[in-house]
Amino acid sequence: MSRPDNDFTTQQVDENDYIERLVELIRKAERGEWPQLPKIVGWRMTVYDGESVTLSIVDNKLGDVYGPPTARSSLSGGIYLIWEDNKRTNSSLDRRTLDEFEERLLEWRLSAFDEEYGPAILEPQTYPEVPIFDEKIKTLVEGDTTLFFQILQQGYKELRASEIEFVDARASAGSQTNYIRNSKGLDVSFDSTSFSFSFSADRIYGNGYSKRRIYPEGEVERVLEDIKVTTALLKKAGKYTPNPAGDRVILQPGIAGSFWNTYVLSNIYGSAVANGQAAFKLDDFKQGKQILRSDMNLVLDGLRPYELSASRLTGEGIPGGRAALVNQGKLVTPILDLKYAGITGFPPTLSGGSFIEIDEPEKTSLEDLIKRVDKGLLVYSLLGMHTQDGTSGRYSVGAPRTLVVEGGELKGKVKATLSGNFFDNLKDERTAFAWDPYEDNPAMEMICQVIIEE
Amino acid sequence: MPKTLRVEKYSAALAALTKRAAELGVYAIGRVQDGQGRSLSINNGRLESINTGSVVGIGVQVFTKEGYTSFVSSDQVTPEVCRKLVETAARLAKSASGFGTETNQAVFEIESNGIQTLATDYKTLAETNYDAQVKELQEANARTKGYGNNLSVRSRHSVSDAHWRIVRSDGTDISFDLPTGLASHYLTIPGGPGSQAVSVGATVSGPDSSVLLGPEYQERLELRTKKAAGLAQQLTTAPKVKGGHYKLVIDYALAKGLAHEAFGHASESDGMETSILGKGGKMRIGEKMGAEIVTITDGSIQGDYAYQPISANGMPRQTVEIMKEGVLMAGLADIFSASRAGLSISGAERIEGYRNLPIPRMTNIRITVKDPVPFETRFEEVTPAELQSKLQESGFLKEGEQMLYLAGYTGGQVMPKEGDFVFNCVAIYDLSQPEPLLCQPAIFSGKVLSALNSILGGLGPLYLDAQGTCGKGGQSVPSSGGSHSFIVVDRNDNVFIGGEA
Repeated sequence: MSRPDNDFTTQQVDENDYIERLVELIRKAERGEWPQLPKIVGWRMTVYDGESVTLSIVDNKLGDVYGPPTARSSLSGGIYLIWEDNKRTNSSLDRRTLDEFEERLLEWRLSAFDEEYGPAILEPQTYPEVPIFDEKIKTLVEGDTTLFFQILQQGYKELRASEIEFVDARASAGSQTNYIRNSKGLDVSFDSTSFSFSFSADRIYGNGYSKRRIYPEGEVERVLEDIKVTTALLKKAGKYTPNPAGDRVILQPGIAGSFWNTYVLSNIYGSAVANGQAAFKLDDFKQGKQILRSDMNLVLDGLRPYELSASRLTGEGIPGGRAALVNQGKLVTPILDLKYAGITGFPPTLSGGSFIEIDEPEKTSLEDLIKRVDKGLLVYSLLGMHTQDGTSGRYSVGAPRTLVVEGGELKGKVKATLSGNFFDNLKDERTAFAWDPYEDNPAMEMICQVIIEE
Repeated sequence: MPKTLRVEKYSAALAALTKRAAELGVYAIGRVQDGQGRSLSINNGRLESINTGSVVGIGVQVFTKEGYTSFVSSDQVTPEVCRKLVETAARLAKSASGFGTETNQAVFEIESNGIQTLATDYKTLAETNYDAQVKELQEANARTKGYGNNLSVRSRHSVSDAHWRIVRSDGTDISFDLPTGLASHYLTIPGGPGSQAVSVGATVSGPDSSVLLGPEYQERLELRTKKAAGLAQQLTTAPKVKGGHYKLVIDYALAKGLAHEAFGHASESDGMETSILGKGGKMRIGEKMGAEIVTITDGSIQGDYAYQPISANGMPRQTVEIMKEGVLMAGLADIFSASRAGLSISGAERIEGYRNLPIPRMTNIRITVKDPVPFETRFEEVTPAELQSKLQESGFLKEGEQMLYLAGYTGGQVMPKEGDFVFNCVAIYDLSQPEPLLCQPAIFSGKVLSALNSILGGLGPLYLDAQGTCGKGGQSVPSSGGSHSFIVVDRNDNVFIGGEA
């Protein structure tokens, strides 16, 4: 493909040539052309060749030294080798791997180890054709930054006109070619793209867009309107007297997702489960233990078009797809790569992002859920979630941007500390969910202990 | 003997870069990274993985004479690619000027830092034996399993040897290495009827594989691991503390967290316009900001996990007394925002990798207090009862007074604009009981200035190896710091322990 005159990319090597040359070198090692080394009897590799363009506003300054127009390009990847003595090697790949191949091969052998339960190389499978590429984004990455300036300048102007003192923003586009190969004949290459923009007002509240395709018409305006309205609400001081027996607290979708990731998802990874480092034991999965209320489900889904989580296959060659991790509140399977599939006896998990799904006759909107709350809180940000012990279920987190809900209406902001046990919240009959049409996961209402910091 | 730096081989590429910048009439800063790393993981006795990797690339930032700027990066460091990178960056900066982007000409006002090589003599990866690493990590994992009943143990060891070379259009050409090493155990006790699962960790950090293979580090990791294992066993059934305002004693790792989250970030020059330590964009130098006994210092220490002798823009890293005896003295400033924040350049720029833009940030930050109470017992061996007794003896804990001891740092977060911080601990001991009562951890939050004004004193010698990772600006870089063994913080209405209502 010809490049425009203002091409930002700097590649000097044809990447398809890179992968083919690397495969050829590995095949030489399979044939034993380095007699001082054992032969390679199995291998798999992934190579990602990517380019991206970014522009930022930092503290009202467009394209200044902390957020200038930026163009990046790099090639990266990983390789897994099985030697004839069954030792295994795991290493990263970079552009110099080709030129330094012999040196790398010797180092790979030095780092080879006896991997108990080391997986075999997977036969090629059928992989889904999920849309993850937008030609329009590729054009942006190759040279035209006008759209970035337009988005950021529009947002800056509108936000500053609505009593917002400091605006931070970022727009970014990326394009990548993915190569996945293995010694059993897997040979898949495909392009993917990403596009995102975000704005933050007075470091109080932010919102944005992030998908594998260009934003739909009206999306910038919708995001800016949400920021203006929510920031104004979060700037008004509120008052709240907590109930010592617990308060109704609504977690905005992103916040609810953060709780689920810390306390549910992190306890479902195969390595943690199999090694006794998760809240859930392997037997809990075998027995389908009820860990959530029976209307709650957690799925992996790689088939949602243009989502960042959309996936055709993993580097190991496991296809993208849709799989239940928790079904009707019962544990179904840990998230397993090939090795932990072998260790646990469960099949490897299809590739994709995690989503919360609720069995409900009718979806409640977040707006309606707020209207139903006489006295409670709506949480917009958390401080300290990354410091929590996810295995215990316990939480004690700061919630500095929290709106008081009174009589179904949003009142002023308070600073709260939330504490409780999330596993208990997920079994509680009073826990409720509600949906924002622009979010993939639901908001969540739960009862927890609240302390208001004056 | 200092190691030979791999970045020496990029001289032709970097010469091409600065030459092409001069031809195009732009000022360029080039940052070459040539890094190698190795990590091992043992899980409950099983060798889980050995991963190796390397990264090579260059980031190029250019400035037009008017101060318009742009940044490009590539994983190819050849003369041809470097010339093209400068051309692309110059074109980007010039085209961006048409959209009214900000200018910054500070780079034209600095003088060359000359040609220098600062290489350490720590072990390279080529000198580090895989078998020795695997054997010791396996043995350490097995020992740790024996420190409790039903313990699940994941042990990790990583070594990184990154070599850097920074060149500027003013003739600066400085090469240096940033070696790091970590060894850690992560322990989990599963929950059961009437008890919750608990996970705790123990870590030592330093410059190379000696963190695993050196006897001094081995002993330190062993002591920390035993302590963590004991704590984990007791925490499964520990009660909760009641939320509220307390007089506190915090260990040196939490003090590092307080210095880093509550104060250090607010002293960084790039955020001074919205920082609690700034006014009208200038740092409030000369104002009293903390208790008169308190001094806060940031500076790089060779052999430390966060060692950074030269900034990502090729400036020498200064040791900065940010606050001296309660008075704000200086900030952590880079080339680009020092002047507008009213500060001197302190070489504070750091980056995660060649693809990133430098921002001012901490290295090793520490709190020291005037006339600390002598407490020579080794930190890892101090029991809560011994600490309680020392606090009573030194007058910090009076009879009938409520006081909590927060032990072990698990991370924190800050909002410099409001001066709000939170951080968390592994465990809390209620020292107002006749025997210290172990309680579940709870979030520690508050206002920066209130916390600093409430420091009453310190106990014991300085410990500066509290290691962590700072995530400012989405870039992860090693951080570290500490204080005396323990710091006492008075009860304050703006410093709060979360917990039961």
